[in-house]
Amino acid sequence: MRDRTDEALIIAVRRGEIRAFDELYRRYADRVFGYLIRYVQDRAEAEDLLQEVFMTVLRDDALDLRAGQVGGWFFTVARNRALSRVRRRRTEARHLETAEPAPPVETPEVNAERRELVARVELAVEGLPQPQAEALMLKVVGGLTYAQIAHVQEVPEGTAKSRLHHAIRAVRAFFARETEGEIQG
Amino acid sequence: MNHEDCIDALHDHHFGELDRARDEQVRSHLAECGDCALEYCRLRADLDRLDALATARPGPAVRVALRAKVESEFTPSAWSRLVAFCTLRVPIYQPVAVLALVVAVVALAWPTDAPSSARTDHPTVVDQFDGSDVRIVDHRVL
Repeated sequence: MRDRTDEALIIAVRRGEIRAFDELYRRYADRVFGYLIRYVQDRAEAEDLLQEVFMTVLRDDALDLRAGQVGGWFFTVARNRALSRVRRRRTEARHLETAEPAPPVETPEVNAERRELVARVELAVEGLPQPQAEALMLKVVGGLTYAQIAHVQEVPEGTAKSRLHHAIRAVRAFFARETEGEIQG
Repeated sequence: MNHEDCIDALHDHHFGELDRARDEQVRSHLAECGDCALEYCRLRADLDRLDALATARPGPAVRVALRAKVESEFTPSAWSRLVAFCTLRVPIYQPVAVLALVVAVVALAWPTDAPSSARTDHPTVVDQFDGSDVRIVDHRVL
């Protein structure tokens, strides 16, 4: 099962082969979830969206299964769903006038030291322009290629590559400043 | 390859996005150049820190719920499997071949008892011949 392509797995799931779904879930669930949770900042909501993303990809007859774009497609759907969920939440919050900051992402799997590292990295990523932060997430969490990132962001491949490189430079500069501050402090 | 080219290509090298020839050039340069090798180590260390972003995992209940949804939506029922079998498109020679096969089997299995039973129930003249009791036939022919 592990040597089958993503496309072959999707076709198999549509024919009712449930083991193909297990393999597809193993390949994408963690990555897509990691991407979603950065967007919506809520574990339950990200889990809900993850289910929606999988069902959408599996149902979508328009998905070209010859093109080798399944990975990119998962994240395109995830991005669209997450964006619409965030927009809806903002609208609801505006209506209710209870716009509170989102609770921090809970990741019970990590220990305190790891949590601190996550917080520092998140701080570094938060300082980036949204397209750069997204390109970085798609690369680091999603493991997508430049071409797939370009597909998700609907930009030329060169632009996606440039965004990613800028993001990495900015994050590294943030880390360097932080280390410098620690040394001086 | 010089320093600048190598530094520019380090991100792509790390992510496996270079073509084979270019990747080999970067590897060779890193093996020879201490400064670039050090820069690559720093880059890898920073990118390893970014892996902290990928620690969140969905709960096991998500998989169970999603699996049930997929199973109920995509696993065909017995009835739909039967319908699918009945409406299966087959090449035109396939029913002809099946029919020919059935005819051949029936023809081989059909009892061909007429000649064999005649031989057993009604012995032939030759079987009843007795050499010691030959009847002399005396008829005038002319």
